[in-house]
Amino acid sequence: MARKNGKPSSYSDYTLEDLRAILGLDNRKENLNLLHTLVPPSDFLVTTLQRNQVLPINTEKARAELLITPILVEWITQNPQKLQYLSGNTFDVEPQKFLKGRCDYLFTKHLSLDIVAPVVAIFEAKDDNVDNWYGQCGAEMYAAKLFNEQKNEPYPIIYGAVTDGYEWVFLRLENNVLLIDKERYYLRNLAELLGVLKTIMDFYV
Amino acid sequence: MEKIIKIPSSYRYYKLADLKNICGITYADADKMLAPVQDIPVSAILKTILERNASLPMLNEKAKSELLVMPILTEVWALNKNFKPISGATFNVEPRKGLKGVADFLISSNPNAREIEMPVVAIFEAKDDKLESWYGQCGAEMYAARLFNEREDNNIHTIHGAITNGVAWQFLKLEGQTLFIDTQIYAIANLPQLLGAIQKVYNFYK
Repeated sequence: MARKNGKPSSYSDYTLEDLRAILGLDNRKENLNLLHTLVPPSDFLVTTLQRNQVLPINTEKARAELLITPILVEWITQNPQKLQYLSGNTFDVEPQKFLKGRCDYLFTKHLSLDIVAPVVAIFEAKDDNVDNWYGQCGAEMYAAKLFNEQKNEPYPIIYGAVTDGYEWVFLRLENNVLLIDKERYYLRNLAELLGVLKTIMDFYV
Repeated sequence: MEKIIKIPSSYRYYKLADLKNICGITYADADKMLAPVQDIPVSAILKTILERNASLPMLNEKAKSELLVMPILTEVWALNKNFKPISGATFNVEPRKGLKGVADFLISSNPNAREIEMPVVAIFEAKDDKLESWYGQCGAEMYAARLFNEREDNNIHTIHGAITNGVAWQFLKLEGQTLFIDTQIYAIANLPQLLGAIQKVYNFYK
C-alpha cells in the first residue's frame, strides 16, 4: 500500500503525525508498569523457539510464524476461554479515515471466530525497527476503540504491541493518548514477556 | 496478426494458461506421483503444537501458515537439516515475464541458506481456498526457481512444489516443459503419510 495525496491508504501507512492530524490522538512515553509477576515458559515453548531460531528469519512472515505465534499461542491456550486469538483478520472500521486493512494479531473478549466487540488488544509483527510502527499499531488500536463504541461495548483501555520477534514494545490507548511503554521486553527473557502478557490478560478477565 | 499476451503483474496472478503462453509449460496429471511414500512418525513436539493450535481460529492464509504449515515444515527440516524453509521471501527472477513476487515457503538445499540461496528445490504455497485455483501461481514460482538455478549453472532442473490449505496438500513437479500435478491429495489427518510425502520430495535432491 502507498500513501495518496499525503494521506495513509490503510493502517500500514499510518504515522504518529497521521494519528494526531486525522484522529486527534496525542502520544507520549510512559512507564506502563506491566510486569507484575514472572511467568516461566513451558519447556515445550523453550524447545520450540530454540529450534525455530536456527531457521532463516529475515522476513515479517518468518518472524510471525517462528518467533511470535508460538509465544502468543502459549499465552492464549494456557488460559483457555479468556481471550480469542485472531491472526490476520481484515478489520475495516472507518475507511473514510483510512482505518482499514489487516491486523496481524487481534484479541477479543468474545470467543467467536469473527471479530465481535470488545476488541481488547492488537499486536503487530515487523521485520525492522519496532519504533517505526507505533503509528500503524496506534491506528489499529484507535479503530478497536471506535469499533467497540459502534457496537455499544465501549472499553476505556486498549492494549497494543509492536514486535520484531526479538524485542517487544507495549502500547496503551487511554483518554485519547497513545502511551508507549518506556520499558522493553525481549525474547531472551520469556518469563518477563509472558508476565507482561499475563498482566494484559488479567486486566480484561 | 501476432497474438497479444497479457503478462501477469506477479506470480499471484499466474494461471495455467499464462504458464503455457508465456513460459511454454503445459500441465499433466500424474497418478500417485510420489508413491511409494514411507510414513514418518510424528514427534511429540509437533503433536503438542498441532493440538494446541487446533483450538484457535484459522480462517485465513496467515493463520494457516503460522498454525499448520510452518510447524509441519519445521518438523521435516529437523529431520533434513539441509532443507531449510525460507518463509515469505521476495523472489524476483524475471520481472518482465511477471515472474516476481513473494514465495510463501521456498526450500533451498543449501545448508547455509539464510535467505534465498541456490539451489531452490521446492516451493510450497499456502492458500485459504481451493487448491486448484493456484496451480498457475505455484507453477510460475517453480519455473522461476529453475531459471534461478540455471543462471548459476546448477544442474537441478526438476523442481517440486505443493499447494496447501493447511489441511490438504497437493504436490506438483516441474520436469522439462511439463508441470505434473499429483492426483493424490495428502492430508493432515494422515500426518505420518504427509510428512513422508514431503520427505520424498527432499529425498529426490539427496
